[in-house]
Amino acid sequence: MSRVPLLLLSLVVFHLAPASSAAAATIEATVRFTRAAPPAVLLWLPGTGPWKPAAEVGPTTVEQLAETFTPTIAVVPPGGKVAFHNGDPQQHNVFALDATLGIDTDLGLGAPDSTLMLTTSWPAGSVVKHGCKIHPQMQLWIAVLDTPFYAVSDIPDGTLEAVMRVTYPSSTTAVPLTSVTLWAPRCETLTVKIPSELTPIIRKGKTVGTLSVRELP
Amino acid sequence: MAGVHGDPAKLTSMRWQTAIVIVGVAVAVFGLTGGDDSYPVVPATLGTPDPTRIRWPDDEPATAAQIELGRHLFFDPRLSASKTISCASCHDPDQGFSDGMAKGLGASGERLARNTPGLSNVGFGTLFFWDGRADSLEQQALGPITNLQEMALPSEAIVPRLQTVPGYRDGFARAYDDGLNLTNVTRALAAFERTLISRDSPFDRYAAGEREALSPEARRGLSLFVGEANCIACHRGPNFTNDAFHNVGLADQRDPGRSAIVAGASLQAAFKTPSLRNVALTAPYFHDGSIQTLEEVIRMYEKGGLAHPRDPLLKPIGLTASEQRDLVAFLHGLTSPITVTRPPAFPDATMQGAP
Repeated sequence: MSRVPLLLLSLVVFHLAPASSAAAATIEATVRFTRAAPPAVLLWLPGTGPWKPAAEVGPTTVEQLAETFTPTIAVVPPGGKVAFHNGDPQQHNVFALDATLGIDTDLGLGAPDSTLMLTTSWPAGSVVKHGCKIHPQMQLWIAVLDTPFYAVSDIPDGTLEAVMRVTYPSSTTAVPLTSVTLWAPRCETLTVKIPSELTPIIRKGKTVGTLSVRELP
Repeated sequence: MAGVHGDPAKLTSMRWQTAIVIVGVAVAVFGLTGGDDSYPVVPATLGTPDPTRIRWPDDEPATAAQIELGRHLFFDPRLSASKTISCASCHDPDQGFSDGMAKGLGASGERLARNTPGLSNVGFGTLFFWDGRADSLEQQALGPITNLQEMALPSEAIVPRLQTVPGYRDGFARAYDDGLNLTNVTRALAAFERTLISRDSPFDRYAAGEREALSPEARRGLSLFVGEANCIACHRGPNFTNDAFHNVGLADQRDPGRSAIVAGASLQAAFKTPSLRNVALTAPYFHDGSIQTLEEVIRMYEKGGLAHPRDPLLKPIGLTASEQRDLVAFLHGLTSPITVTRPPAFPDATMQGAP
């Protein structure tokens, strides 16, 4: 394996189920873009929810530092909260506009070292882009998922690939594991069977990459 | 004195002492130590623009033929109702693609509302116009052409007018699958603008390791720029802009700026941080052209702005007159003029029936 995929693998953000089951399945997805990769991708196992009660999940923290949101894609359960902490020395103003989902959010000015809370209101399976009114290059996507089994991977500038793994304790639920869903900014959401090879990723009607999925032995 | 002349040992000792004093003075005055203080490190948040990072529509760079069509369009006054004003009339290549005036002149000779921005490295931008109301160069390109106060050519008149010019009619047919249409006119103009790249300034050569590319004054200015003066808070990245919107506290706060596009208290009279590439060529400065020289710009920021409200980032800095001159010297070190040849105009086939 070359160094680049290894590096990418190290950047993957895992969300692992409790390591309690001997009957666990690990799904590996590889995305390869052929042109201008998005900054991050999100993979989840549809129908494998639900989450723990919202009170136990707690808010997901998004850091604003060096005029960048971290993580690039945040995931919460339905009705979940996002805490925006401003680690920059200047103000930020988080907002979102999504006419399709009826989202018009403006958290107002966030002073340095302050935290502002957002409660999500959009349906599971939807992703809403957020930004800063003052610093338009800041981009964040907040996904509401009905399953805690997902993975997010950043794709660093100058690279085109990401490998994600999600471990699913199949013995804890009766839901069979049959498919995965890939979401990437500006690309069509893609649901494919496990396993599958080189499914095209589409952006504006053009193939911009592929998705391959397999279950690890 | 005679004793000295007569004692070779004392003479040698004095010469050494003199030499040490001279070197010490030189180090103090000219900073010739070669250490970090005299040759500041260029932080990773600055640097030289990488043309491969320019964002093209659908991630497909334009062809040479498309860029060439854009160059013709850019200099062609047929894109104005009066056929007297081209894009280059205001975005003059000899003036950093600006016009040297506080505010531009419109089709009827009246003053426009805002200063004409330079176009150096505009292809790296994300939002366009002072208030960021266009999110692509293609969208931006149509704005001044159709604006009644500027070139005043209705969008529906653009293609019929260009159809009468064989150079455009045939050129677009060759360069684009769907030939001459409004979308492709804007794409060609934007394609040309994305080639206006400045990346060989004294600063770039210094960043590449040519230690004397910046003068001692400019190097001190660089230290201030990234340090005490904190210009880098907004003017950073290879193009010295964060592409963000700030109210810098200019005297006239009446123009709503970004707040007319996106509601928000912090955006009242806030305007896009301009790139500093070739900034020495694009006076006067700010969205209203209210400040004539770079020296005055530095004095304004040195005071932390002139009026309220303004971005909390702006505070009095406390720079000496010498330090202010050093900052100006550094800004001059960002100059690398872009050479563009004005193409001969495509001849008209006939003007009869043309709108």
